[in-house]
Amino acid sequence: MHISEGVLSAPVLVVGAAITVAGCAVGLKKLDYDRIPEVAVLSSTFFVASLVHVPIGPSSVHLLLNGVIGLLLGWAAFPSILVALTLQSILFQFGGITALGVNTVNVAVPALVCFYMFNYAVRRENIFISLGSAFACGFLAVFLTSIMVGISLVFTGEAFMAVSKLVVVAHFPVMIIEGIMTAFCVAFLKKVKPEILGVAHAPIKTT
Amino acid sequence: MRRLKLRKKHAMVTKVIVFFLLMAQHMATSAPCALAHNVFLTAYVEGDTVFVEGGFSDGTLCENAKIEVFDPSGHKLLEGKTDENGVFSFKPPQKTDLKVVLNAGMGHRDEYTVPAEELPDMTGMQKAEAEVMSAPGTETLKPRASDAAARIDPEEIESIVDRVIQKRLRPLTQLVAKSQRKTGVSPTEIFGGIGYILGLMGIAMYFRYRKGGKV
Repeated sequence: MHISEGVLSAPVLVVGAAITVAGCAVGLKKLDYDRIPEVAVLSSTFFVASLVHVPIGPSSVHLLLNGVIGLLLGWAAFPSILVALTLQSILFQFGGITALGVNTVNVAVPALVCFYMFNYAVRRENIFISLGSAFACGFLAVFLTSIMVGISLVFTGEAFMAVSKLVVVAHFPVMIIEGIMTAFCVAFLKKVKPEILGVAHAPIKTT
Repeated sequence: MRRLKLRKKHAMVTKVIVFFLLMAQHMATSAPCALAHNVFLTAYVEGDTVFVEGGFSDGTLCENAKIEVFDPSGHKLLEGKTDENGVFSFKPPQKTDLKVVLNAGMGHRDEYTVPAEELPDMTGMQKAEAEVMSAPGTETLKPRASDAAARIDPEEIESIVDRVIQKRLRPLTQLVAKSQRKTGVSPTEIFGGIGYILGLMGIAMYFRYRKGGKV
């Protein structure tokens, strides 16, 4: 999911950076100071999750967890993911500094979409609806990210259908795994700290 | 009763896991390359050939990836694909810095510049070629050739020594080329990164309390 430096053309990079800046601005504006530790914890989760390789055959893919992050953070997913990706590109050379904007958009926008799609469903009492939508959330977030990687690569000359198909197929196991993990997370949080699921949507700015 | 239920559950979980593993394997065979997040490229010179090796950060080899070679002005000199060992080799067409670019698709790309001084001496090779080419036709070279049989040409010794040294040094060159490129992730960096995030959180909290103090 980390597009390397020098792959994308300038317009794509600029658009990605612009969306990232806008998303971060909204995210920070909406962010309540009390939730900063939560954002930081999820940011480090994302930072480490990329190191968890899922071995499939001769190669491997890594986890993204953007479904969980979106579900818990909403708009704050933007700054959270940007921080994690920046550190990854500096420390591990995953992706590149110039591609940071596009990479953030590719991960954070699906997170946001999933937040709006599943935020209410996940909080429902009915355990099947709740966990089912949590699974769908984790699954869809990775799926949308794969599609968005395909879209960003279209402008570099790679054929959209071919690339997207390859990315989606490669990440299919990850989608399943993340769906299951998201469902577990939601089940756990519902038991232990149910307010955290609602908090992302609560009216913010108390000061 | 409860135990039976539990066992049933276990069986189901196992089935699900097996199913996904099988599917994963199927997926893997259909898309063998370009999955991990970081691709790297190493290049080293041996004799008159430049060897390029592509791999992923998790240690797998990068098969069938596109390799392009550019000169310093960005003009494409040649291109090719890595074999099943992730290796591509070419004879440098000119003695300048060569920029080797590996493109594994899906946004995975890396580049490495082979500096001009590492490349074999093209002038020497061209001279030798020229000699061979002109040898049959020209009279003047003939006595020199018989001379060379009598006493050993210092240039020839040099080239032999060169070749032997390069052969001996090969594992070392490979090692150095590999270690130059970052291929893995160390725990220090992981904890360092988490530390950075916590530090940022601390800064944000600091501003919060400063603001709180004002209000």
